[in-house]
Amino acid sequence: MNAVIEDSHLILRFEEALTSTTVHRLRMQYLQTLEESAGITAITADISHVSMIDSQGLNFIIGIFNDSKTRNFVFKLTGASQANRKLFALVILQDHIPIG
Amino acid sequence: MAGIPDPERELVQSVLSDKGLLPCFASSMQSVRDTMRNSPSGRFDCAIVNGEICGKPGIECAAWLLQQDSGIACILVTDVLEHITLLRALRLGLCDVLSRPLVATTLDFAVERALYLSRSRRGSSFLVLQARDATRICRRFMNGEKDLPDGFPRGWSRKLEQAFFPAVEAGGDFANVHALDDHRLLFIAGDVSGHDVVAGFISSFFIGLTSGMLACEAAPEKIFTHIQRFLVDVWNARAEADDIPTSLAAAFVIFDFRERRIHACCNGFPSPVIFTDSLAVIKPSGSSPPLGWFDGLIAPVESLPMPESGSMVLFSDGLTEFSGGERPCLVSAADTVLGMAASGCFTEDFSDVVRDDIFVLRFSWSAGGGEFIRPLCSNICEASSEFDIDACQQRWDRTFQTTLPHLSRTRRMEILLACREAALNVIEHSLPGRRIGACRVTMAILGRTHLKVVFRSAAPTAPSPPQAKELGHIPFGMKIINAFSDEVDVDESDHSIHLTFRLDLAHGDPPSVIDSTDPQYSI
Repeated sequence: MNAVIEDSHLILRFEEALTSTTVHRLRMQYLQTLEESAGITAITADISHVSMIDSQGLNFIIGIFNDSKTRNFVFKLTGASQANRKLFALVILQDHIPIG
Repeated sequence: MAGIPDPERELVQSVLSDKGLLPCFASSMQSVRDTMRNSPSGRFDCAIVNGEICGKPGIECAAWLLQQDSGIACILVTDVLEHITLLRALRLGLCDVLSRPLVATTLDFAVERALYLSRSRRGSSFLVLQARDATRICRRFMNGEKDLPDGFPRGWSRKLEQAFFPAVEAGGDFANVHALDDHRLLFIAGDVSGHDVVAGFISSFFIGLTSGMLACEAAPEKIFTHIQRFLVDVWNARAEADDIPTSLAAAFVIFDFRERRIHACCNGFPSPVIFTDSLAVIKPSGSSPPLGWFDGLIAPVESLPMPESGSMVLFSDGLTEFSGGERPCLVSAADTVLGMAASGCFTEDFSDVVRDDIFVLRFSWSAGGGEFIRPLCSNICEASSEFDIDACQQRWDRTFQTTLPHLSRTRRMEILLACREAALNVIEHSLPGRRIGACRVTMAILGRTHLKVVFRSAAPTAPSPPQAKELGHIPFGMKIINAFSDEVDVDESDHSIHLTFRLDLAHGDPPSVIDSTDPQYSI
C-alpha cells in the first residue's frame, strides 16, 4: 500500500489483491499511516491496481469507510474496475460509499 | 586454418595431407567469416587458429567458429602457453592448445583428437536429430484425443485423451490401449529408466512385444513377467560391469465392462486415480510399491468396483515434478498437461520446470451414452500456518486457463473468487476453535457446459449452525458464492459445499442488502 498526503487529503493506493491473505497486513499499515498523519480531513482509496477483492477485502474497505465516518473524514473509492464494481453492487456498496 | 603464418603452413599442410584432409586457409577474421558462410554446414572437421589474428585475440575467432558449428573442434596455436589462455580455452571448450614452435608429432596427435571429437559430436547430433523426428511423430500420435481400439462394448460411450512430453529428445515413458475381447479393455503403461535413445528404443520394443503377446492371448501378468525377464536376462545381461542396469516401472489396468470391475497392478508406477460420477476417488490402496524401478513383478493385482460412469487418470512419475511434488495436486496437473497438449503448447512451457518425462492419459466412460465426468482438480488445502490459499488459487487459475481456454477472464475470476470463498468457508467452519483445518477440493466438468466443484472438510468436523456460515469471520463469503455460482448446495452433515457453474453464460448480479453500520464491519 502506498500512502500519500496532499493538502490534508490521504490517498491510499492499493497495488495488490485485497484478500484474506493481505488485509491483515494492510489494516496494520492503514492504522500506522493514520497514526503518523495529522490534520487529515479526507481519505481516497485508489483500487485501480487491485485485481481481486474477496469477502475480507470488502470487509476491509467497509472498515475504512466506517473508520472515516467515526473520525469525520470524507471517504471516496476510486479506480474500481468493472469486475470490482460488480462485486460492490452485490452488497449495494455504492449506496453507502462514493465510487469513482 | 585461421591466421597461421606462412612458415608454419607447410608443416600443418603436410600433417593434414597425411590424413587425407584438404586444408583451407584464412588470413583474417573477415576471411574466416566469408569461408564459413560460403561453405556447406559440416564441411570442416577441425580448425587451427593462431593466437593472434590481425592484432585481435585468436580465441575470439575460435569462439565464433564454435557458435557457427558446434561440431567443429578447434586447436589454438600460441606463442607463449599462459595459464589464462589455457583457462579460457578450457572454458570455451576448445580441443587443444599448442605452443610454438610447432612439432609435427604434437600437431599430429592434436589433429587426430580433433577429428575424433568433431566426428563424435556430429554423430551424436545426427542421432539426436533422428530421435527428435521420432519424438515428433510420437507427439503427433500421443497428444489430444485418440480413438480407442475396435471391439469396445456396445452401449458405452468413452473418450481417451493422452499427452506425452519427453524430458529430452527421446523419452522412456510409454502407454497403449488394447481391446482384450468384446468386454475388456487393457491400458498398459511403463517408464523405462533413462531418458535417452536407448530408453526410447526399449519402450518402443515393449509396445510391440505387448501387442504381439496379446495377439497370442497372453495374460497381462504374463506380459509383464516376460518384459522383466527380457530386461534381466537379455538386455542387462549384455551390460558392462560399470553400466547402470535398465529397469522398468509399469502398470496395467483392465476395465471389465461385463463384470463391472477394474483390475489394476502398479509395479513402481503411480497408481491410477479413478473418479466416480459423484466425484468420489477410487484408488488402488493395497501394497503398491513406491515410485521407482523394479527388476521383477512384485505388486499384487487389485480388483475395484467399476462405476457406471467416471474417469481414470493414469500418469507417469514425471508429473510429480510438474505438480511440485504434491501428490494431491496431480489430477490438477494432469488436467493442465492435457489442456496444454490440446491447445498445442509444447516443450517451451515445460522446459524450465521439468526434468522428467511427462505422460498423462485420461479415459472417461459412461453407460448408455450419458455425460462424461471429467475430473479437473483434486487438491487438499491445509489450513495451518503454512496454508496458502493464494497458491491454491493460482493452481486453479492455471488449470482453468489451459483446460477451459474459451472461458472469459471475467467469468474465470468470478469462479475463482467463489471457489476461494468456499474453501475458506469450509476450513473456517468445519473446525471451530482449532488452529488446523483442511479442505479437499474436487473439480469436474460435466458435459460441455457445467463445472462442478465440491469443497469438503478433509478433517474431523464439528457441527455448526447454518447461520454461522453467513455471519462468521467471512461475512460476505456466502453472498459472493451465491452470486457467482449457478447452484449452491451446502451439506451440513459433512460441512461440504457443492457449487455448479455454467460455463456458457454471462452471470447476473442478484442484489443483496447489507448494513455497513453493523459493528462486525468496523476495524
